[in-house]
Amino acid sequence: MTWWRTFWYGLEIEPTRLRILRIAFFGVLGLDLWQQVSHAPRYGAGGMSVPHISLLSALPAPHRDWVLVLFCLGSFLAFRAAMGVAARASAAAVAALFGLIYFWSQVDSYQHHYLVWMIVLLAAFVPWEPANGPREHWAVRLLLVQLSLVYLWAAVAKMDPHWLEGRTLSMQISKEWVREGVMNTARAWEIKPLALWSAAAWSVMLAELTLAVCLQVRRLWPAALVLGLGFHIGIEVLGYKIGLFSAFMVALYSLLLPARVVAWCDRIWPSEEAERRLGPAMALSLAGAAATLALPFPPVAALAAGVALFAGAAAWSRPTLPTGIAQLTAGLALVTLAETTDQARDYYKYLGGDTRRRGEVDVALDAYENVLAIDPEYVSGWVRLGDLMLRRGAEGDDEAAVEAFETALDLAPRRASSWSRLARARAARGELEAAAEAAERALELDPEEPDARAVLRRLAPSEPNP
Amino acid sequence: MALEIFDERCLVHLAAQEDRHPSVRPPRLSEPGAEVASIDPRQDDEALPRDRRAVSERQLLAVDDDHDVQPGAEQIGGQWHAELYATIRRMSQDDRYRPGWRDAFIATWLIVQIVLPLSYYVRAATVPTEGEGRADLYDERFTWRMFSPVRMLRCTPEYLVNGEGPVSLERHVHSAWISLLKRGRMDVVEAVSGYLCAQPGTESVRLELRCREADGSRVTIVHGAREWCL
Repeated sequence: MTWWRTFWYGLEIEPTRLRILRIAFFGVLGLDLWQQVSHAPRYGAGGMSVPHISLLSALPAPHRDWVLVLFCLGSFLAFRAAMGVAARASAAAVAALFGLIYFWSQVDSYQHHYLVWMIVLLAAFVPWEPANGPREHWAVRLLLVQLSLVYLWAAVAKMDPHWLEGRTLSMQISKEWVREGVMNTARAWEIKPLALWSAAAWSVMLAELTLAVCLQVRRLWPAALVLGLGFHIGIEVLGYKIGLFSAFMVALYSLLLPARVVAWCDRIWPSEEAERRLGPAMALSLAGAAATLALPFPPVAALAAGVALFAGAAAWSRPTLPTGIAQLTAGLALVTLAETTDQARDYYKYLGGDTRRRGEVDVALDAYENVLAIDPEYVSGWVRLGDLMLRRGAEGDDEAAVEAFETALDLAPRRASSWSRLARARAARGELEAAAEAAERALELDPEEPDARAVLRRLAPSEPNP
Repeated sequence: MALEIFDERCLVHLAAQEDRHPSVRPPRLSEPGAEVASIDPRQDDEALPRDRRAVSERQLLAVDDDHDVQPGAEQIGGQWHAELYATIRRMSQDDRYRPGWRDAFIATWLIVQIVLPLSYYVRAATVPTEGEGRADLYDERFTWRMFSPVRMLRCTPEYLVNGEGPVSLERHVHSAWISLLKRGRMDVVEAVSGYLCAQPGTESVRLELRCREADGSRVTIVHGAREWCL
């Protein structure tokens, strides 16, 4: 058993190396969880759900509000861990809630999210706390072994004639400059383009095998660092749509940084001894929590984010200036993301689109009103809002629909479909002359506009029966 | 650097500590007059008498389970002592090494990560060329088969509800489920079919799921003859 003990418990990692990994990995995780906020509406849409694990079928279908809350909470906890506040506990909590969201529904079938969940789970066992010297820990070794297994299985999957002949790779690459480059090179070398694709496919498979080995041998880490970074940055450059996976992998490769770089980072890092007790940091954290109430999300999400911040602050056993600032920074990171990214807008946009198609008119109307409050220049949003008003047909809805279409036309006056919708709304209100004018304007812009023709046909005086 | 024995209760491997603190001499942890001996580091620890490999528990009180130095360690003999105790503890644990929950966790993890992907290849070796059993080939979850040729599969689901259709699925389920239907995921086929059956007024649901694989071959996974509302 000596080899087992040496392998799993003999890997020494400098504290600074762990700090770099902690900041890079949890920082990307916080961003990724925030990015997933816009996908929350797909969870439990229409009451339908298919979990990854049949055991979870006993649970009710997830609801978008709760998934939204979990994503916001996870994002905050990840940022908190990145800032070094209760990193192990934060990782455990993120692993629990990320695992719940992931396994609860197959709407997220990204394998990289499965990998991220596993890494976060292992992170709950990594000694992130400050230490005086190198730490040896099985969890870091298992993390590296997991990455090796991923590369190994990925390589095994590519030992398939359909992959190695290059056709699959050529179908997956959509970037035009890459395709042109392959064609031009093949022409210059007087070979078939498929031969180049095949060479690239072989290279990918061999690179994955090499990485699987190099990650386990410390002396080979410099090679793994160069190859791994090149591999994952290359995937990103080639335009694969895999979210933040490349960023996650680059973050994980910080574990392999050369000792000289780690030592330099160690020299510039602020001393732990600089920490001092500071009670008001708690108050600052709560101020951050209060700020989240301004998030453009349902009150339940804002409330949950506030509670999370409060719980984080309350669970904080040794209040110090750096931890207080870290808590506050994590909370502010979430607020800043909410205010500066499109996730809130996209959340309502996707919610509106799905519920509109499935006939949940009231939910869709609410979603479009929210998205337009965030982005009043979203032309299609005004058009959809008008459509939904007409579809609901409650008192005052036709007038509101006219206003919505007119707003859309103020923003994009040459959109024929908006004019024909305005014509339909005006006709519904009995404003026949204005309806005819709008329909004619639509036909001026697009003589094929079917709705405008339909409105004009309906407005035309009926021919007397012979 | 040799292994040094400060007294009969304590075995200390000092090499790492002395490398880090070359100017500091090893402290004497033993009682005055206790035996101090040096042995060849190449000698196998197992060759030492058991009583010489035992570590004084009194000296380990200052070190927690993760070898972290506890506040009391500073009082005993400063940072050097604290690190020394951590080393003693580690040596002691090495000597008394017995597989624990961590080893069980690691072993379970490895088994899952080997068996799950491997089971895919076992399933894939026996899938039929046509029919619902073929869909096992398309379910690559938990197998680390990113960007595989199977991922290039494209299926076309056509639902008939009460004999009419094809149904516009977007009016019934989220587009994420439609994407998974197009990837031939049977769990989702069953769930969507069940969902459609559960809609008021629905008496019959039939599905034709035709797919095109990476090599261009066409297969029908679900035939329209099957009634899903039974």
